[in-house]
Amino acid sequence: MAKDKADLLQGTLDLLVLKALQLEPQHGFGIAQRIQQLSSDVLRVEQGSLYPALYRLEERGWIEADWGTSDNNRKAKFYALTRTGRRHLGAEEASWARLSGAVNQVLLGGGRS
Amino acid sequence: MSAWRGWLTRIRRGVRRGDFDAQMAEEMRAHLELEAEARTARGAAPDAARREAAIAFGHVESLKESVRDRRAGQWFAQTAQDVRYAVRLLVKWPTFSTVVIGTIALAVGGTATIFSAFDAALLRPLPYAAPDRLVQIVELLDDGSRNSVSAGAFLDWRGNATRLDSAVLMGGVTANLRRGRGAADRIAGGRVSHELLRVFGLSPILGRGFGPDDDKAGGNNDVVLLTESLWRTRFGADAGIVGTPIMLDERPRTVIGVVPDGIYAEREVQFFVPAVLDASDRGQKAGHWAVVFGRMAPGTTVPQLDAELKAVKRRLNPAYPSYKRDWGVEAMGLQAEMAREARPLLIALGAAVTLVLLIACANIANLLLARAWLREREVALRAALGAGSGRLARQLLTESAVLALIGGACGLGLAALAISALAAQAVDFLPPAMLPTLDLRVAGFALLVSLLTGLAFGALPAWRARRPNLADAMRRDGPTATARRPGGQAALVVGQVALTVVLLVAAGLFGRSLVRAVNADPGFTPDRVLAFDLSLPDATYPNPESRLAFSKAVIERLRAIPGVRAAGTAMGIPFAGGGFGEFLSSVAQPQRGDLVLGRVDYVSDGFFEALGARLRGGRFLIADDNRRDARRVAVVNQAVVRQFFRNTDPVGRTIFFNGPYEIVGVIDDVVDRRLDLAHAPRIYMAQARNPFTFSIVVNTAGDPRQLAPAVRQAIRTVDSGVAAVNIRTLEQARAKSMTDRRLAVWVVVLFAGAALTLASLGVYGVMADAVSARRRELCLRIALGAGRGHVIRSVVSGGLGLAAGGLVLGGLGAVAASRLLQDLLYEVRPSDPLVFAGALLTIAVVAVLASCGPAFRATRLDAIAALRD
Repeated sequence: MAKDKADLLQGTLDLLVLKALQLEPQHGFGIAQRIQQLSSDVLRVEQGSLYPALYRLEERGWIEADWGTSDNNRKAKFYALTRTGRRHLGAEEASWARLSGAVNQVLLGGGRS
Repeated sequence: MSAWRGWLTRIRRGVRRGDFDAQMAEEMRAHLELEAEARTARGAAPDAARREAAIAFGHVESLKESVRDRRAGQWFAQTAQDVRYAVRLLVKWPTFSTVVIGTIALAVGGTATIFSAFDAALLRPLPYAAPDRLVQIVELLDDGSRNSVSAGAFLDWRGNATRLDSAVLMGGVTANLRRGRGAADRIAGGRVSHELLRVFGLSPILGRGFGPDDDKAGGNNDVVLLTESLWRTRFGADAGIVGTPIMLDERPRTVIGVVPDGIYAEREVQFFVPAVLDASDRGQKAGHWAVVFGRMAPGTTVPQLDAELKAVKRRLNPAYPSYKRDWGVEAMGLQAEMAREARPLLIALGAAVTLVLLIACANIANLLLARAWLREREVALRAALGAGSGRLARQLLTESAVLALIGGACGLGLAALAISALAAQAVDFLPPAMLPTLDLRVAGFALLVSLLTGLAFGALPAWRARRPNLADAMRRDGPTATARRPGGQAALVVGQVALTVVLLVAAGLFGRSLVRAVNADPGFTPDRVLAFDLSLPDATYPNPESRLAFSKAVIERLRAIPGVRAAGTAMGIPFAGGGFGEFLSSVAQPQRGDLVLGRVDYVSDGFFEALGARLRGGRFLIADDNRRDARRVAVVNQAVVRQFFRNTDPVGRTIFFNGPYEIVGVIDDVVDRRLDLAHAPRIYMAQARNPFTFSIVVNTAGDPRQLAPAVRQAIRTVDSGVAAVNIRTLEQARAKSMTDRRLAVWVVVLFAGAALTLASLGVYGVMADAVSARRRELCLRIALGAGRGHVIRSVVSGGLGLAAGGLVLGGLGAVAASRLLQDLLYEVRPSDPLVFAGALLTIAVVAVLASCGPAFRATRLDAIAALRD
């Protein structure tokens, strides 16, 4: 039971990380900030989950990492979407839309009857 | 594709671990700084911002560790690290390591040794082509017991059973091999029908095997096949030997081929000659002398062949003598048949060694548990520094595995020694194909056992390490604190004691059987008796008269040697067996129930005196009985009296076997092959009635071995073409006849001794722990005036209590196990009270002794120091 839940969250986190990288490469802290910002402060990403997710995504070849310099001239590791990552993001977004649409439909439908 | 790249990435990270760790640390630091800056920008003080960032980030090392765990390359790196760590621990705790490795080595060595015997006898396929198609076929008596095969029955089977691809009839022969002008050597061989090589699926090394012409009556039968070892040792591996004649029993036989060694037969068989079966053999369904092996047609099962042979017997029944109407026939898979005698013993030994292995595992688990307890702080510290619980368990398991593998390697070394010792002993009673050897299968087995034991005894500590109680462990001030050790140890010791009881009882029963068997009365006085075998060539001794004349001449010469008190001949010599199995009866016209299978022997005058047989009534055979024209008289053993004459004096009465014989004497039962077999009814008739084969016994005034050269010389003087072989004293023969039983006893006693040692260590360990745990209490008692005796009694009774549970369980187990051993015992009941009492008492005493050390240590406790702790 607990494991299913963790898997769901993990899958969602992967999607969020990929989405956060859609526009431009970003470092870990930036990714966390961006997710927080995009979700209007609703979603806070724990570092304990973020970094394992980043390494996992890198292993899968969806993102790649390179050292660069941050806005305020600090050395940081930047993550960027790869071509397969971009494709995967597209597929995930579509399936998420389908899923969340379906869930919404159920919830709304249940409310009307 | 992407999965593949993922693996590549992981492995790269694992291999370049240093780089990766540094980069990860750098990345984390960058993150913290970026976050701190962001907080500062929002107006926090720099120091506070940094602290808050760190708190928000969480446990950096756990994070690193959880990322590391994901990496495949890391798996190798971690294992290598674990192994390094395990080896370091090993060196750090030398006594502990030595005890554990030694225990594993003993257990694995023992197990591998028994497995090699098991493997050789029961598992390893016979070294012939398609061995599962090989069968042995026997005739069955009307009571269902097995009998040797008559030539007529063999020919019936061979000619009528369609499910037989081929079959061979085999009997033993001995012959004098003469080389040049010198004296002859006697060698053993087989008399076989022509399909010998086809049955065993072998091809000759040189020349050809037998063909249908070779064993046909009237064909060219003077041919011989040499085994490779005879060809190499006696003929210098002469490649041109095929086609040349050799002199066997003064008769030239042409060598037609050389065959591989190890064709299943008596071990010393060195040549094969054709068994020529003429028309009279064909009709003759009596005269049971042969062993029959067959190769089944492809696709046939043993039960199918068995059914067909039984049908053949029923159809041809009218041709059999009336007493064989209800006889049967049975086909058995050769592999199963060869192992039949060894199986119960091997299963018993296998069970014994498994028990020892379990006891050893329990001991090591105990040691590891105790050490795990001592190391709890270390483990807790490692957990606090970020080691995951799975990671900790894995490390502890790696430690066990390293110990187990080192122990296993040492064990394999021990097994190599033990197996060669075992094989050297077993040569006396096992066919070559069944001798144990150290091969890859045994090595693989040893490896498997070591790994399994490693897992078995490592599992418990590893399981406990999954959830270390950090706070508790850290708070405790040291390994000697008063907290109770984890349970489980006592249960392991109770199990050990129980298993040890079972082994001790088995050892006791085996040992008592051996003592009974060795001390069994052989029925004569073996200490001054010399015996040897010989065989007379057909060519120079073609008829009974010439053979009898040779025998009388030899006996006369032997009696003339100074120091010889008596000499005589017989077919069957004690401990070697011999004579014929025949049906005896006490009535002239026996009905079926009157016939009893006994043994008949033909002996010369002087034989009983030479043996030192004990006369119970009447007289021994005398020179007058040993003439071709003498009256038909016989000496019988006590079994005959019991079987046929209801223990009344039989002298003057008649016993029937191929006609009537008047009983003139009764002797005590003389051993046939083994002291632990029951005596069959046995009748002794004069050698003159059947002087075809015989061995000779000589009774000497002094050491019989010193007369061997004179004896050899006496034979040579009578005929240099006849060799005296296998010269032995019957005392030697008696010792040798018990080799297998003695070996089994030694093995079981060794196992029981090992088990007892391990169990006493187990009791000692638990009692030592108990004393540590009760230290405060005991000190308090001493401080309050408890005497030494009181303290000792209190500790020792704890040890006895621990043993008591094991004694009860083990006693019950031993009652069950000893029933299974029944067939292996000799004149000892499985519930022998002496053995049970001895075993239980031994363990009780050992438990008390094992508790004494900790008990005395308890009396020397420094009360003040202990209470101050």
